[in-house]
Amino acid sequence: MNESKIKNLMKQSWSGVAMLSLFYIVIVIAFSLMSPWFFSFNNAMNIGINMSYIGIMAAAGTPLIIAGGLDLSVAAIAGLTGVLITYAFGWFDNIWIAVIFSLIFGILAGSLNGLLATVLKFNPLIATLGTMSIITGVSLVLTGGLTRSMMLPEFNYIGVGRIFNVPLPLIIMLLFMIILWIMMSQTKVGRFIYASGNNPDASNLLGVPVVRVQFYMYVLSGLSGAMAGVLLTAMLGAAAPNAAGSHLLTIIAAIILGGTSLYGGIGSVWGTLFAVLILGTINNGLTLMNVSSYWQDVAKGAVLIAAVGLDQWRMRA
Amino acid sequence: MTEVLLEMNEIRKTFSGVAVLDNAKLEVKSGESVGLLGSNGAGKSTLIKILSGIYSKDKGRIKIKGNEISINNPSDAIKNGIGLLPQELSIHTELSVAENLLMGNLPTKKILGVEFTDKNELKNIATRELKNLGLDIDVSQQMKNLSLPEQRIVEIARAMVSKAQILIMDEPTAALTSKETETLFNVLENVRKTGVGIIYISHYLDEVFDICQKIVVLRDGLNVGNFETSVSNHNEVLAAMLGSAVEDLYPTKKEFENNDIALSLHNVTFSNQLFDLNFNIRKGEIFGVFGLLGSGLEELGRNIYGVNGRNQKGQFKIFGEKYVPINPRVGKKFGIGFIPAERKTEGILSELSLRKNITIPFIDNFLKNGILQENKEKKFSNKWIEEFDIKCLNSEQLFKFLSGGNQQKACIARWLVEEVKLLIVEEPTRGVDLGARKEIYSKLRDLCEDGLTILVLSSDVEEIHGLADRYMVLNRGKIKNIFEGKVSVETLMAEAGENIKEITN
Repeated sequence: MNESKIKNLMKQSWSGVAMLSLFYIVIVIAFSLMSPWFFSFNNAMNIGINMSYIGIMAAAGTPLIIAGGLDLSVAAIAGLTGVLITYAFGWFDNIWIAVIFSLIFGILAGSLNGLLATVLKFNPLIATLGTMSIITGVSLVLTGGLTRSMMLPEFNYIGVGRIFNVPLPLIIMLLFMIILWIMMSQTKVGRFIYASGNNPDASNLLGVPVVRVQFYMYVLSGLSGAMAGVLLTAMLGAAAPNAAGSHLLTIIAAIILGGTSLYGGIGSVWGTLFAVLILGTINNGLTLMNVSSYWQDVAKGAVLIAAVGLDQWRMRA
Repeated sequence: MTEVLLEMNEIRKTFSGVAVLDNAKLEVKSGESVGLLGSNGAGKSTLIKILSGIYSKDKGRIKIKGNEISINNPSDAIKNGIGLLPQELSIHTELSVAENLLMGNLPTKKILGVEFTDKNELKNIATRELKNLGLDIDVSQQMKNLSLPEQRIVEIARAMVSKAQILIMDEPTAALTSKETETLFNVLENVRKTGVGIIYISHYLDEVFDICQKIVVLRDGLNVGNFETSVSNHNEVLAAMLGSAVEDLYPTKKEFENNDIALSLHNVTFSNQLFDLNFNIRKGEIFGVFGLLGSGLEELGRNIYGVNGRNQKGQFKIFGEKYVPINPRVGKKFGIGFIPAERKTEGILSELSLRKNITIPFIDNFLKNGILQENKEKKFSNKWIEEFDIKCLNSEQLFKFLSGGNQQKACIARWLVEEVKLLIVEEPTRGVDLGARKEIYSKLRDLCEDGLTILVLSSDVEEIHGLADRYMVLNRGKIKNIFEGKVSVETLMAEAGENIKEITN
């Protein structure tokens, strides 16, 4: 096969997802051969639990980037959400009101990002880098950098419960992804998202409310951060102000690796799901093989750069 | 006997197989101004870009003072004494006049072995150079303080400083008033007398006759006329530019009985672009608007559609209803469709499929309980693919893989729903090959027969003349004339190109 044929194949929309699934099968086989503990139902569920909150944030980040936006503050929002639950539980003495309170916080934080990046037209990279710093700072101020315990059986069940032996966080992530997939592929909003990201000027002339569409995607991303924060706090039984912060890189890497273009207009939620699975599996496999988490950071960064390189190559192809 | 400065012979240039220039010739003598004329797409700018090293030629010879040279990039051109002054000013507004003038060869002096700019010398040289061109100003002021023609003159002086033998001026007066134009012309006259050859590109025939000794006319990439201005008249030159009418390109027009008004503008002014507009567009007609660069042509359609927001004074009525342009969504609600001139940047969704490009403006028509009905979308797209003969694999092909003509057909088809009653089309066939052009024209005519009203804005005078039922000519932001009946292409061109001195003074 010559180069142009490969490029033509690369241009097909399904080719990205097909390549990812192939890659996934390869690493599953590789890890199964290298570690006796890897290939089991329980380990698969472990990967699922560990990737669930990351997957939720990556899933919401996908339509945002497709629409031409970017949210670096989403993991910070997850961190502050956990902290807010512990405070709100103290004020309202009702965990579900506290959860709703913190989800509303996520929506407001997303609205702030949306306001800055769409209505005021700030560069989204800088705007959300700023809000990321602010939100992380507020979490640390509120907690003094300490972890706050949040043990409450009915609340922790969200994080550790199982239905038919499948962990609840994994189910929540999959449901969230299905909803987003339907939104992206079957509704008018989804069509507007692709159009806005592909060519905002043309979309505007065609009557697509570009600013509004992008704004709502920032709100959705903020909400997903809060959802992830709720899950993580329930899982850990505690709110650590910086628990999710280090996962930002994984989230962005998953979205790009999943075939979403940083230039907007291209991508899919399914691609992101596969990429999340791949990154989670690599992480899990390396841990089982006793590779230090420091080296895992190196691997993650390399995968991210490779994914961006692939994106550029695909755009030029 | 005057020396021949530049000879270009048998120049050929093709873009993706289509010859834009074929056997083109240009000769400039020392101390001579040559007007280069031709309608849009004639190949003027391609020829100039080859001479100034922006494009490479496929074939042909360029000689300077009898020596054959090769120009592969802009710096080759500058080295050979060719100075291009593009349409848009290329100046650094925040720097001083002197720095702008001597940019690239600043005088220096050494202090302790380190080179510094010699400020005094800089000022002296700049003042001297500008005085030579008849401009006596303080050269240490910022460039932005100068008037437009003064900035132009500094550009000319810059070319002279870098020893330009041949000066190319591309539509230098498009943004100037008639007084400013005069100032500029005096300078050009001085430059010419020093023995420099000038190639002058303009749509304004008056200007060309004023300052040029010779006129070269291009059409479809060929030389179709060489004139001495002292012994020729406007009509000869216009006839050469326009050629024999390509009548069969355009569909036959119909007789008009209907006098219902589709759109009317009453005393409308769009901020700083278009002034005192009064006109009516009749139901079911193709209303053609023509104008040159700087006429406001590019802004009229999009302002009516609401692209530039609420920036207007005056009254609009559309199909009897009061209308205020606010944004494209409001325009759409009032039954307006809009096809922009810049297809690539403003028209297409390159990464989306043909189907998605066609259905997006009225996507609500394909919804059922909030879910998109893909089959209904496909049916609609396939209908137009067939009707417009859009060449594609199928409706799912990505839009970026279609040719310009097929993209343009889809860009028209997407507005053809019963909600749209007035279609505004900017430059309907820009970047479209001849075959597709003919199809597009005949489709637009068919659509009018079916009751659609079309407003066409084009800088191609033949297109407007061949396609429209009535014509409106814009000239420097104002309506120059509206022609109800038959009128010649030459008249339209003349009206658009006429300096409206009488009106402004």
